[in-house]
Amino acid sequence: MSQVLLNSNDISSKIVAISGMNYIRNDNFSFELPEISIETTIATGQINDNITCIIAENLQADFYISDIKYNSATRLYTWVCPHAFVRLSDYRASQISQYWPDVTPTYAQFNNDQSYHGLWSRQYWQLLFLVQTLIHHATGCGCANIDVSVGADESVYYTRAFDGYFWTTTQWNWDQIGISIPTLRRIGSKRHDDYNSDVYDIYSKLPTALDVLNYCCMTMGMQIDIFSANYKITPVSNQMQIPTESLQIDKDERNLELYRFYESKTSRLIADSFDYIYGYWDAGNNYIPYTFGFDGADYQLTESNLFHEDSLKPGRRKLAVAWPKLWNIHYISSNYIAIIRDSENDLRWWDMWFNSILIPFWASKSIVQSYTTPISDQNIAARSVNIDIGNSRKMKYEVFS
Amino acid sequence: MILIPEIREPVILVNEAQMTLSNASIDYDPDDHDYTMYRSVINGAAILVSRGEYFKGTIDVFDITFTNYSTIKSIVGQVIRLWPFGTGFWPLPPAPAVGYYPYVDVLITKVSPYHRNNAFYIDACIISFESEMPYTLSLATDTGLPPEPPEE
Repeated sequence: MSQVLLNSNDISSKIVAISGMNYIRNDNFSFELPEISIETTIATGQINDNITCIIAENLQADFYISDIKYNSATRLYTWVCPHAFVRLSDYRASQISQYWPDVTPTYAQFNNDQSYHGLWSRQYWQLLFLVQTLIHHATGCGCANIDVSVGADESVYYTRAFDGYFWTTTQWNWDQIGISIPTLRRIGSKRHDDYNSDVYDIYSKLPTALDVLNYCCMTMGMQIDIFSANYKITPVSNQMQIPTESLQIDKDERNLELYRFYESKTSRLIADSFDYIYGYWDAGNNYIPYTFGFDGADYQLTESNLFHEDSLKPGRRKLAVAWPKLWNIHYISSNYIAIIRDSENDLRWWDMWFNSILIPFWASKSIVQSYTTPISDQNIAARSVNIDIGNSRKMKYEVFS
Repeated sequence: MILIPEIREPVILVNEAQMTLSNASIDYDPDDHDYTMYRSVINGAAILVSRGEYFKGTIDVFDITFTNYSTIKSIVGQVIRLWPFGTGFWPLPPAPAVGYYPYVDVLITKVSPYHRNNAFYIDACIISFESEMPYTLSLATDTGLPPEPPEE
């Protein structure tokens, strides 16, 4: 480390000791932020002061003082300094606001709806820009200065298609999926109005803005370079191939063994709900209502095992590796009636319809779903987001003989 | 430098009376700095943590009588006033300024007797002390004697 700054003042000559820092990206693309401890003789440091550690040219990290301890024997101060992003943990998800300073005009740029519906119909927040807003609010780095050049594609920001009826649907590119604002504000809630209810003692357990930043990284499969001055955001997909449904690798790859049967497990939390209003009509013209979980249940943890045999029957010298196919959302249309589809086909009776005024109700279901992000004209399973789920996706194999 | 006219025998104030430590060998460590030195782990700069400067030393008193030794022995662990270079004053220009010999309140940490001349009831002892508070050697502005009690 070459320099340490306290509120832009160089204090490198007063650092008696400084701990190392670890920035970890987990397998599910969530991150663990570093926290450093500094011993110094400086008595003027105060809580929430900014600490900048400059490691080398164009390599630095921002922290802030969260705790100060004084040792009267050594007369040294110990500063506990979490990463600047940890400031976001002081905010609940429901407090994230596009009106935080320095957000405009970039917010308007990303949400400039030219359709005849006008801005009032916007119910989503462009996810990449949400990340920029969160980083800005935690660190002070201007939204426009945060480097999203690798992930952003404004020329194909989204595609509007006319359904042939009077609806206009919107399809988002994979890197720029939107999240509905009601969803964001109620994330983690059991009921749609939990965020402002004092009946249920869950307010303290609601996700924070830092959790939301983690979810964004997880769902978009991206990482934030906290060691760059402009917090370069890099989709991990640019670094590794998005896994397809199956892959064959030659047995000559000596590090792999042959497998035929594979098993995958997914875990999910399902909130209590019984949607007796909405359903679909089956072939016998029977109305089948949608059900989610058990009536009256609190949270139900379910595990589903998918057991699959590779029907491709690879040769003995071939290896079959597969990832479970998750439910795909191809697009969400949010006009007068909102639709979630699981395919690119035309409108079908069994597509899930819901009225836009019930967006808060359906938004509460977003905490229970693992879903893949849509890719237009392709049917590719990408990484999913598991929220409040303890077990990560597991893969188990048996030897093929 | 304090620029006293001459080094005289040290004097201590015991039982409200001054006792001159005659025939004494002094070994003072004035302005002894209690500090810890660190080096910055970033750029190697020196970082000094100071806990003050103190007056320390020993006084080796020769040919001390048993009575005086007993008196000195009784003040171990106590704070007494010491005039390390003796008492007195002298005019300082410009008149009417007066310079007084320095004095300091010290904590007697050790009084250890020993045989020196193999003489009966007349021997030696070493007095070790440290200043009670941080103190740097300097001219005093008064005699250092306790004020006279008011006449009844």
